[in-house]
Amino acid sequence: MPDLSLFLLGIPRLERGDRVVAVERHKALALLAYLALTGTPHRRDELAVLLWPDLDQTRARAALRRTLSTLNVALAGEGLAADRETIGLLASPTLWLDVAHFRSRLAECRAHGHPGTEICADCLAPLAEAAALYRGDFLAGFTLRDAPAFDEWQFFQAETLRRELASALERLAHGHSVRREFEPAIGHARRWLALDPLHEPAQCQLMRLYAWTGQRHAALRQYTECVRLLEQELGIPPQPATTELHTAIKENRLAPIAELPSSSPAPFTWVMGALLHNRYRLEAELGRGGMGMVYRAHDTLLDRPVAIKVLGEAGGGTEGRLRLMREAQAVAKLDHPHIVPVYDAGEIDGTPFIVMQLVAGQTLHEAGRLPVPQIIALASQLCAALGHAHQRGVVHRDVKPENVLIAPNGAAQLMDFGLAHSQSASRLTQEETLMGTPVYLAPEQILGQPVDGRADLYALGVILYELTAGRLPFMGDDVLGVLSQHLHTPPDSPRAHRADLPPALDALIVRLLAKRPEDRPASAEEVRAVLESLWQPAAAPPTPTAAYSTLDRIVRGQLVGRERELAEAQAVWCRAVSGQSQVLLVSGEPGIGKTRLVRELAGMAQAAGARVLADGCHAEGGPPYAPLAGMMRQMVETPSGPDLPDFILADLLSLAPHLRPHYPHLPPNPLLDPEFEQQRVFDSFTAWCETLAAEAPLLLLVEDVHWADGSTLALLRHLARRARRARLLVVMTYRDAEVELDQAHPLNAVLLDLNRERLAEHLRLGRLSREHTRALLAAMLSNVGDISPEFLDGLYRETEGNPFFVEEVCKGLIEQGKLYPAGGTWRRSDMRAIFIPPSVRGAILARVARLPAPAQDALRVAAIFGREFDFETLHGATEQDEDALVAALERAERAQLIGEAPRAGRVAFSFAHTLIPFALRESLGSLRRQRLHRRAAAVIEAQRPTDVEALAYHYAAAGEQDQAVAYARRAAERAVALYAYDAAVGHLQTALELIDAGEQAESRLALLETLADVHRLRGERADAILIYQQALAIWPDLASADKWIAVRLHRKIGETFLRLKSSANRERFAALAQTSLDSGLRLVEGEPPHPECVRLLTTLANDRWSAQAQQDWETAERYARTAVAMGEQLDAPVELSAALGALDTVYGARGLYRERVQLAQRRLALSRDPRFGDLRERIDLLCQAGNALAFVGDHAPALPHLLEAERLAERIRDVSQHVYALGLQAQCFFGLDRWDEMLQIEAKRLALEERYGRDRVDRMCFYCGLSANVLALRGEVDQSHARRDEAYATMVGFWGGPPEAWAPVGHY
Amino acid sequence: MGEGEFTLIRQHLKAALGLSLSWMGDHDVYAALADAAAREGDASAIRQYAPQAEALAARYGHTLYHAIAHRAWGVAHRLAGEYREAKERLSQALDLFSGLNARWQIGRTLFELGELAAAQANTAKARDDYTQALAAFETMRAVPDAARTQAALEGLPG
Repeated sequence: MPDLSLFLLGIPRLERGDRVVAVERHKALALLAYLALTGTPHRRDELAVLLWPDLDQTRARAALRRTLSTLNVALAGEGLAADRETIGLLASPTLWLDVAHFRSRLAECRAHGHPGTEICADCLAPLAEAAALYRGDFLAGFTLRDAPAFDEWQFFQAETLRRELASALERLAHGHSVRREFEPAIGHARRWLALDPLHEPAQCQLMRLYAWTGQRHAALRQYTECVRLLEQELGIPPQPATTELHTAIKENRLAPIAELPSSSPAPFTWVMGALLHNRYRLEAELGRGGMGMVYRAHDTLLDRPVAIKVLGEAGGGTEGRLRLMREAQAVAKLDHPHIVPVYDAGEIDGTPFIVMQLVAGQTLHEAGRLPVPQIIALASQLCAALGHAHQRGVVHRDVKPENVLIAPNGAAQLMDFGLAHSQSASRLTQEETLMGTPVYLAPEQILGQPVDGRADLYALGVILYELTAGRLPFMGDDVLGVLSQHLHTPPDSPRAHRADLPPALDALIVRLLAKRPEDRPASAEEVRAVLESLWQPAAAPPTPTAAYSTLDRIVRGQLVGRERELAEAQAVWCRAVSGQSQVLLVSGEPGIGKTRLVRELAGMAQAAGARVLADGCHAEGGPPYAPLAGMMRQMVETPSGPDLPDFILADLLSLAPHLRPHYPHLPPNPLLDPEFEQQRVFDSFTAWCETLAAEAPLLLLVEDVHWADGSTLALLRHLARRARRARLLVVMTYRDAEVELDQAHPLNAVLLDLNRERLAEHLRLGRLSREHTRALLAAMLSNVGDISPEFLDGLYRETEGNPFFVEEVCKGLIEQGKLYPAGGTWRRSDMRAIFIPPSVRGAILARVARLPAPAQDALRVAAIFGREFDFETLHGATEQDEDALVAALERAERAQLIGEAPRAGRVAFSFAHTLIPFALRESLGSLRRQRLHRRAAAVIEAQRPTDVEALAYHYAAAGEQDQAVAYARRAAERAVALYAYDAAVGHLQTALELIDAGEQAESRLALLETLADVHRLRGERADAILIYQQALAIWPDLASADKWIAVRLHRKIGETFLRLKSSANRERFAALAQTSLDSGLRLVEGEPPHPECVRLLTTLANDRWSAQAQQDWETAERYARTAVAMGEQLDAPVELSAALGALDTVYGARGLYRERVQLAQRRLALSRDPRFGDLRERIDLLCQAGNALAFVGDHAPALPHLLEAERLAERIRDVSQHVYALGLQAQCFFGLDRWDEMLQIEAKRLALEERYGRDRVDRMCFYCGLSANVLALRGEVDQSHARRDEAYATMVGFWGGPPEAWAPVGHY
Repeated sequence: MGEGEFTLIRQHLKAALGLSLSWMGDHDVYAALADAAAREGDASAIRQYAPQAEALAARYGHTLYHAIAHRAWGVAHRLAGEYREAKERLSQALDLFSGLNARWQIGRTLFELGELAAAQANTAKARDDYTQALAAFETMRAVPDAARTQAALEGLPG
């Protein structure tokens, strides 16, 4: 059993047992792959040049040493054979290599004694195993941009292996087909073709297989596809042999397949007259289906005619056969006049077969066009059959016309119940092609979700659509495109294609094709009842049906003119799926089709097995992180989802507190310093995404990020940076004009970072060309006939190729009757009678104006709430009664201006496009708008009083100053609690703008102070100082004139100044800070002790030793001692500890290191007081105590503090403190000559730094120096040099040049 | 360590004396300088750095550095032929290192005691000290030091 497994076919990975081994460096993996595949040792110089061609020899060898060290760790010290000159892999039975096995399986066939291009029966198993080993191209998705020689080597290896796979697949396809195992043969042929769609032999093989299995139309379609591809890609026709084959198939002249020479005993021969299982005599071949052959036979035991279907492999292997047999047993229990009964089932030579009732007649597929009454009758019978099966727990899963027989008496019989089902048949994976056609698959089948009888009803809906409309509801050249339409695109009404269809039948079909199972009829019986009512229309109870609208004739959802963009987006998605996490930015003007494009991509991703989470941002704002909280809600409401550690869940709930009721017993995480806590919460969100992406590729879609709050953008940027190796794609759409015209827009900074770090690809959608506009029209108005140039010109001139505008104009013309269907085609009025609005806003408003007045009013009020609104809230805000409002909304829905937006627990709607509510709001007069906002605020206050963000927004828009200010403050508080500092600033500034200068001094001062505090948290210290100053200027106007407020503000100015980094800012504010602190001091003179005074004195002490104050240690000490004394007097442990900290700084400067130890221990004792709420503060004090002791050589006493610090830091996932504690431990172990422990701690520390980044380069280098020293003392020269070189290179990279003091070995 | 490397180290450590480094004090630098000089056998450098190293170690109660300073002094005295003073210093160093259970430092000090005994032509004592030093180095897997000590053992007469 191999201990180590190296997979190079597909995404490369190394496994030990069943666990993936992380290989920390890219080049280490490249080196391993190179050594494994070449199988021989290589000179060091050769490898160095191969992998680091741009470095000089010395640095390249140093890099090679470091990489070897990493590889050695990954291989746990085994496997590498390295000496001074060469490096290779040890030949070991415990290292399993997939490429080696792939080739050895291929080589097995050469021992069979026939030419390599031929195949015998014994070849099939090893070839199949080889094909299964080939999970993907050699080192898929892996590249070394800075090592072209390696890339070239990789390319040639990949090509060679691909050719070997192609040869194997070709032989497998042939081998299975001569054994008449057509299903696996088709599978292998498709896979062979997928390697190179232009390879005509593969095309021909597939055509033959389709023809042999009775799929003549599929064979002919394959030829058409072949012709198209050759023309498109190469500009050439097919070879004569291919065309000849096509003709032979068309004329039913295709020769049968030849027998396969076998070295094994001959299997049962399926020839006429043969006796199967000593019971069934084969009499005639009835036909060939996708699953195998069908024979007419005679049951010699019961003396009756039967049909025998010979099944091919379904799902593969023994498991698939067992599953089939269980299904056959289940079906055998069904007994219904409209279900073809199963009499028997068995297996011969490993081939399953089923014995069924012999039914004369033809399949529904062959029946052709049928009159509506017959369609209804057949459908009713099928419903009866399905209902019978569903009640017995059997779901067919493959209802299609080919599985419906029509007996000579016209009755329908359903066959192949679950027998054709294969676990993989409904999914499209990266490497396999879809088994069977996707046109009848229900959305839940495509998504791999649990399936029940309603999936069969969906398929019935597709059949009914096909029978009535004469075409399928979703069509396309591309399989993924068809699947995507099943998932997302509403079907156009069948009556659009067949006007004589009864409306009730039309409505039933549309209902059967609902995307969600719960929106379809609940059972086959319900469908049957509707169908039967169609027989007796007079006696039928009135069934509510959707009123039929001409607008419904418009075919919605086809993507036109975006083929290039979609291909690019798909390429980005493929890279993400291979483990290169990406951000895809899609920008363009409103209505240009951003949503359409990204939804198409999302549909394709879902169809391929990915998980998609989608949400968007809104113009009217909302709570911080709203779109991401929405995604979390989607996962919480989905039963399937990964288990997460409690601490990650607790952090996620802090971003989405409304989800807390789902986790009532989960305690919150310990509170920490806000600046750090945001980092931890962001890390938890990243961990959540990475966990989801490990289960299935993950696509996060965030629309309209130009409206996103700064915190959402910060979190998305953090995710993009940290989750680089996840199978994750973050798609963001935005309006580029809005962002690019506003330099201060928060999205600009994020875009800059993403582009600079090469984390994003950008698609800009431009307007459609005239030709594409024409194509869009043609797609929307199927059967359009000719589109006159005059009409197209007029339309294009006004819409300028904006797809949404085009659609709105067409809808408007239809509503006006200027564009209408007649005689199966669309016609229009004379161009002189057609007015095309000059703007999309005009087009929208014109359409709204055509609605009845109640609907118009309802939409105007709804627009005040934003793009989405729920019924209850709207009802509260309008003056219409409930019934009138329902009617108004239905009317608006029929006009396709709004649609239902499914939300758990409430009825909600969404405008069809963000431009619609925008246009409606703009059309309102300011007075009316204000009144509506006031009404909206009142309703929200009554129904959702905690929605403070919405209340702040509406009250501000309503001009209700006091209410707006109060809610803005609450919204700011909530934003701060969620670390959404950008949002907090926004709310506070809004509140400040609402309060006139000179009014409400208390409120104004409090708002300014909070605003300054938030700026501090964001690190905008210069802005904070200026705002604190503004607050101070107001202080004299306060009625209370509480001097401690002023003292506090002065102190904050001083503290903020101390943390200012840039020298320009320090010079600017030095005098100000000095003055402020002195002013504060004057205010407290003569006052009794007060905690604010302790804080002020501590700040003064810290200020006095700073560089700007020329390090006045005496004064600093005096202030610090005064603060300590006052803190002791007041029993204020937090303030006292800070004062002791200031004193500690003075002691450090004076070299009073033993005294520092005492101070540190005293502070540690204080931190046990429960008033010390921040755990991080305690960790810091533990580290300080440990550091102080280590500084004076008391390494042994220091260790317990540092171990405790490590434990706590790990508990709260404070990576920075964790790393620091480990570094100090390393120092102590070094001082105690406990080298093994020191190296273990160092390895831990390095792993954390590698994962989370390095926050203190000088510390890092110091500890690297220690471990380099120990390695040198142990004679491990290479590793020591590597550690040293790495530390040196990091410092040079960080500082841009050699550091001032660099000791090549660490001290004690 | 390679030739000239102590010189390089000394240069860098001296530069560090002029910098304000929060994680490294003057006592650290002087201790390292004195120890580097001792390993190099540079008596004048030892006499330059060891006094300050000793004084700072005493001030801060830094036992490890105190012991290092004693050992450096011991080497300086041996090189000057002041064997009694050397023995005294090295013994004090050994006591302090033993109290800390710093095994590598103990090994290094035993090696210096071996050097002292060899200088006094006391072969048996030298053999004994070298052997103990070798054992300490082997326990620590300090390969270069073990090799050096082995070479010293093999270089003893008889």
